[in-house]
Order: sequence, then C-alpha cells, then structure tokens
Amino acid sequence: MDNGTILIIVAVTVTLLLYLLYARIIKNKNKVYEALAGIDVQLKNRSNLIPNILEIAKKFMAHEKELISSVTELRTKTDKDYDSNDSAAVKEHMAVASALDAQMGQLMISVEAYPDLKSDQTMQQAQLSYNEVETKIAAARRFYNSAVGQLNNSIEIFPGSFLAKYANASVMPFYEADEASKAPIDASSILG
Amino acid sequence: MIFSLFDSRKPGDLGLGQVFRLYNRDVLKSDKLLPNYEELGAWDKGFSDHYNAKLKNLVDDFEQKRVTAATAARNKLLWLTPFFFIIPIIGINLTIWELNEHDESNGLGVIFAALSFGAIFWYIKRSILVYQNSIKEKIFPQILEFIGDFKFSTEVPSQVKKFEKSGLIPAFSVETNEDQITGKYKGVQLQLFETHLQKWKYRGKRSRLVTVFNGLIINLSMNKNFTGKTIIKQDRGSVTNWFGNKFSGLENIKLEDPKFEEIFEVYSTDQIEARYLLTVSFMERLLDLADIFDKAEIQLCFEDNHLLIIIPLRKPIFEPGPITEPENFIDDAQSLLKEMHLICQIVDILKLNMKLNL
Repeated sequence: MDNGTILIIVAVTVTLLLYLLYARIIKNKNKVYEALAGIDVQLKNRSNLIPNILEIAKKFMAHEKELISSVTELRTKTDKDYDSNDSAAVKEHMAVASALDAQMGQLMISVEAYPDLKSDQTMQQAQLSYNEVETKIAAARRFYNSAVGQLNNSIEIFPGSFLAKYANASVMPFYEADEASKAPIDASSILG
Repeated sequence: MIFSLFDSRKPGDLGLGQVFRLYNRDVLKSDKLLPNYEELGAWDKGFSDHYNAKLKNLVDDFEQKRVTAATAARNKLLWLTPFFFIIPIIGINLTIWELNEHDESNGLGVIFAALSFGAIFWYIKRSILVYQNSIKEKIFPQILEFIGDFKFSTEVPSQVKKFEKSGLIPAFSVETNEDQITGKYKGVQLQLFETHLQKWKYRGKRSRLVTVFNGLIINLSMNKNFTGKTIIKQDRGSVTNWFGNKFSGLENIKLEDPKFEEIFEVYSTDQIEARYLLTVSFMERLLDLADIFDKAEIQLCFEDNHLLIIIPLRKPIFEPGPITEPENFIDDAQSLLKEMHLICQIVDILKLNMKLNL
C-alpha cells in the first residue's frame, strides 16, 4: 500500500469520525430542545390550573393578597415566549418557573391554615391535579437534565468543542432547584 | 415456606425434601403450645387481631389433619422403601437384556426406573397435596381478607397469550398455571398467578419440552391514561441490551439512580412518561421487590392502562408450610402478607388508584 492510499484512508476515517461526532452533537442538541418543549407543555398545564386554584383561594384567603398577586405575576412571566437557542434566556425562563414553584408551594402550605378552604371539595381536587402536574414537571426536568448532560459532555470535550460552533450548539444550563425549595422546612411556622 | 433441598420446583410440584423427611418419626409430633402471632413490620401491622379472630381457632383442626396426612404419607413411604432398591436392580437388568438382545440400549431400563419412581412419589405425595390444597383453599383466603377484597383459587385457566404483546413473555407452546389471587386494592384491579411456560424443542426426530419461563405474572389495572409504552428489564450488558432493543422502536432511558441503573435497563416510547412513572421512590421499591424475590430478574411493562410485572421464580411462592412441621399458619401468613404488601405498595407509589383529568 503506497503512502497516497494510506493518506486517503486516514483522511476518510477522520472525516467519517468527525461527521459522526457532528451528527451526535446535533442529535443531542435536538434532544435538549425536545426536553425543553416537554417542560413547557407541563408548565402550560400547570399554568392552566393556577387560575382555578387562585379563584377558589381568593374566596377564603383574604389575608394572602400579596402572595396571590405574586403567583399571578409569575404565571404571566412563565407563559412568555423565550429563545430556546439562547442559554441565558433558557436559564432565566427556568428561574421564573422555579420562583413560581416556590410561590405555589407557599400558597399550598398557607391553605393548611384555612380549614374551610382545606376541606373544600373543589380545592382538594385542584390540589390533587396540581400535585400530579408537578410530578410531570419534575419528570420533564429530569429528562431535560439528562439531555443537557449528554449535550454538554459532547461539546465540552475536544474535538466536540471545535465542532460545536459549526453545529450551532452551546453549553446549556442544568435545571437546579431554587434556594427556597432547598431550605429546611420550618414546621413551627406552618403548625403555628 | 419451605425451600430446603429441592428448590427448583415448578407450579404443581412438591419438594422431594418433604417426602424424605417423613422417615423421621418426630414429624408426627404436635406442638401443644398455643400459637401467638408476633407482628414484624408495617406489612403485618394489626394482623395479630385478625389472626386471633379468624385463624387461631382453626389451628387444632388443621394440625390434626396434618398429622393424619403425614402419618398416611409416612406409612406409604415405609412400605414402599424396598422398591427404592428393587427398581434400580430391575432397571439395570432391563438394560443388560436390551444390550444382549439388540446390541444397543434404547434406555428402557432408565425409562422403567423413572416411571416407577415417579409413580411412587406421586402416590406418597397425594396425601400431602390434599392437605396442602385444603390450606390454600381455606386458610389463604382468610389471610388475604386482612388486606382487602381478594379471592384465591388453585385452578387457573390458560391466559398468558394475552400478555405476549408486552414483549416480555418468551415464545411458548404449553402453559401450566396455578394459585391465582384476584381482587381490588384501593379500587385498582389486581391479578397475579404462578405460571410455568414450556416450548417444544426439536432435535432430529426427537422432541422435548423445555422450560422457558417459570414464575409469577402480576397484572394491575390503572386509572391513569398512558399514551406510551415503557419497559423495565434486567440489565444484560450494553451489547446484549443494544441488540435486544434495536428493533423494538423503544428508546433507552438513562436514570439518575446508579444502583437502579446497575440492575435495570429502561426503554420507552416517551422519555417524560417513563420518568413520571419511575420516580425515586418507585425505583427504591422496585429494588426492594427484587430483593424480596431473591434478586429475581423482574421485568415490567406499562401499556394500555395496565402495569404488567413478570417475576421469574426458582420455587412457587404461594405454598403452605411443610407437612413435617406443626401447623400454625404463621409462616404462611408472614410470607403471603409480605409479598402482597410490596405489590400493594406499587399501587400506592404510582397512585394507580387516582383518576385525574389532566
């Protein structure tokens, strides 16, 4: 085998390997978009539930106006469109959704202090549905983190880092639970 | 439950260990102490009251039945013992005769010995089986009554074909089922039974039945609507996993729990739905379930609003205690409650009972 043939074989092999890596990056990037879309579908489901919960809560929770208006505001922000190609925009979108998680969690805890509201059948059904959709959001976020892990690994290691700009892929942020949900629960404040 | 000497039995079989222990005269002695049920965990909490109310008064009656059945089986064993020596001698002579007459052996001696021993053991075991079936039919339903509205039946019709769609059931020709529990737990329809599946294997002109699956099939209905299909299989190494699922149209799901990932592989048509089903607590319970069933290769399939669980077993699980030990139903109750508790926990963890319009 002469040197020219060897050179051609090496060039073809390297090109093939680079192409496979490029295809892998594109595949991983698309999986992240798919996962993001999955989260958004579940966030939309939650967003649709929130007005019902607030409507019921308003009747009983006269002293929680601030909390209710904060939830309403965050819901509007979460529903806003964002650029899924821009990792900063994705990060901000996730932060807003997390803040809504925390406020809704606070609202659900506050419900405990209103026995009439707590025993209300419509509220109980709404809470069950809310918990179910929260579980689905958690599942969607787990898928997203798994997809982001794969994408980031493929574009942070050479030659992936070199190919990333041709594939128009950048490092995406992981979903992280907000500080409020990581903090220990103060049972005395809930139980009075 | 008994799994001492011969623990690779199939549904319908009875351990030979029990038969040979009948040589010991002590097995006919009755324990005169009044039994007390000691609760061991969350799975049998409150059962001692149920035991005192429903089962304790039956102990004497069943202990008498046990001694009668054990005596009958022991007498048969003693007078048939000489045949354990005579049969091999006849078998050897038949083989020698065959060799002299035809210059080759077609296994006539071996067939004669196998059939004769089979007939002897069947004859001895008949008295034991009648007694043990009476426990299954009269005592097991009383134990299950503690958990909920359940029925226990020893006769189970053929039905495994309907589960083939899951892709977890191996191809088979013959199915033998026994010991079925059906009922509702928190509104979820539950069905489980033991099955032994065999397939004809051909080698030249000869054919024989080989076991392709022996174990437990659990079918749970769900109040939730699932659009996809999710399968949980035992991890068989990356190469086998890849080939095994390349053409199934399912995607491999990577989960966060390293212990779970070490044992199981998950495939699904829907990445989010798979993670919705496989929460951290569900993964933990599944590992517990695998432990309880002696690290069995558990497989699951979520499809068409049903959860199918397949657990291969080396030995039947719904079997009464040994005839060679005094009867008090305590072992039977503990095993049955522990196994059923885990299955019910799956319903609780997955909230299979909840119907939500999302």
